[in-house]
Amino acid sequence: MEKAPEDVTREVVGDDLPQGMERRLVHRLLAYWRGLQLEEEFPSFAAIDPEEIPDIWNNIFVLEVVGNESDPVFRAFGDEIAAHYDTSLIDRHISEVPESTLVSLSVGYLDEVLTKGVPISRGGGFIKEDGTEVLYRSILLPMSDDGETISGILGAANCREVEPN
Amino acid sequence: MKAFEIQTYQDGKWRINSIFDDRELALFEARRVDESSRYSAVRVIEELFDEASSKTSTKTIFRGGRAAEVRTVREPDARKKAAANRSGRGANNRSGVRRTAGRRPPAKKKTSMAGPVILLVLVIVLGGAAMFGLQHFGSLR
Repeated sequence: MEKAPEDVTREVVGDDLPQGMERRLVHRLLAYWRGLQLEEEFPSFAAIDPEEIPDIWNNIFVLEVVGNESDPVFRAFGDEIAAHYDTSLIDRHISEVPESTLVSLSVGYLDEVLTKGVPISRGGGFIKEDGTEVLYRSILLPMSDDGETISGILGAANCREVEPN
Repeated sequence: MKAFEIQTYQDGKWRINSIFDDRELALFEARRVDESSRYSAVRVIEELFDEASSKTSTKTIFRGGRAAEVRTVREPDARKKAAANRSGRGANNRSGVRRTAGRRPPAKKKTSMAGPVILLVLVIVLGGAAMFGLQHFGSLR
């Protein structure tokens, strides 16, 4: 085997999906998104079949960007995501989502996705109103009607409460 | 703050493929992209932003199967120049050796010329001596 350059660290990556449901969600949706890609174009919402990703469909949300570039609008929510809010967020703008909640944090890096035009996954934590600490992970995937211009975002997020010591 | 950027090599340049804040996620995804054989090469760049100094440092933490080849392909001119310099130096060195070696033959020629001259002188002297001897012994009869 060719000797690696000095600035490179080689790591053994296992065959199984990374531990934790948060990471599995990201990998599952990203793999599905890549499968929808034709060449290097952004996939279309029309190509999505919820029955192909039943295990993660409840954690998905959809953002419409076209016509709402400065403040995109939510068009769909999976049940798991919707359950975090007392009222529906469908047809609401991002600016209307309560701060420091799962959805608001999950779309916090939307501008970077729109600028770079690539999938981005981030995670972190927040404190619920009842004081419970929650860890979350999310992913935002650029979608398009014509394959070239980002018209919307397919997002997914999940979280788990941290048990107090 | 850390970010892990998966980059793929397409059309002669590296492009951002996806971005993660989790090392394990990025490495796993990079390997999957690499195994798909969709791209010429794949690599993961770790970016570390130091808020105190506002400086970003980067480090390559993964290279796909052909990333090493791509890195050399990226700089063909530099490689050619380096190769030219190497071969140029080599040629000079080799010609230098030839020149050094070429200075020795004249010395060898001097040595090789002395031999025949001495031999010729020796033949003439011996021949003369032989003729003198024959004449001398002939006159005694």
